Amino acid sequence: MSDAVSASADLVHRPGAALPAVTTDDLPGYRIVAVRGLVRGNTIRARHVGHDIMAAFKTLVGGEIAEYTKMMAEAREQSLDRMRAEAVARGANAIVGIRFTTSMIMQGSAEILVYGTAVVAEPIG
Amino acid sequence: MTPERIEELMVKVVDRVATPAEEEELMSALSGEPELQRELDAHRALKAVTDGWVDRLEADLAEDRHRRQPLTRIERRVGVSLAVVGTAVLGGGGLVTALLDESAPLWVRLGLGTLTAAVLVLLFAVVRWRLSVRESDPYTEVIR
Repeated sequence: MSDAVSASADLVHRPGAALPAVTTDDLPGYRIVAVRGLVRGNTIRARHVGHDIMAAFKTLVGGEIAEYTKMMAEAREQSLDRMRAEAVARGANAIVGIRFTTSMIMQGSAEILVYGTAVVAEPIG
Repeated sequence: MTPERIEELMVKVVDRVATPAEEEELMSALSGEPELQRELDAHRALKAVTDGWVDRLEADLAEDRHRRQPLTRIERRVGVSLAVVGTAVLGGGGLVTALLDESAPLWVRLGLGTLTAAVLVLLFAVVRWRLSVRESDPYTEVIR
């Protein structure tokens, strides 16, 4: 894998292999033996005023506003971790049917809500 | 040359990791083999399509490199610091002027003073909160 792909994927900050969390309704190779219910995680994050100032100036010249890209990424990872925590607390070992949603609570902040179904899955065979 | 060796060399050539000797070896093997030559061309065409996004990522990371440059950091910190100082001077100056203005009713001056104290206390509280949790907030490490 090239350095660019590794750096762009930022996998260092995206754990989760230990607790499969997928958008599909089932896990290939596994059989869902119990459903532990809805699990969700959400957060609202903001960046400090300095980043907001920079972001405002960047709207004058265009291009990616990395300050807010990072803010969204932080919110996404924190929400995922909170959802994983709820799944583990419910005795699940996987989450299926994950969906992301976002809303606008206040200017310059990111709210991410992620939800899915916590399940107990066993390997087939 | 075995088909396996040809396939191995094709992959290396298409991925641009073949040595000149390996490339020469493959070209010799493909001479007079139009079908294999077409296969190589097809692999190269596919590689050109799928490589595009990796090339774009390389360019995309230029933003990261630019952001990490010392000059960029200094520019931003100086700019933000000046903005904060300017705002504080303007706000503080206006506030002091209003508070010392004896023509203003006492209740206005008292209200302004109280509001200012409230803002300062709340500002201190959020700054103190942020400084105390900043080190333990793992999500500030997330890049994208």
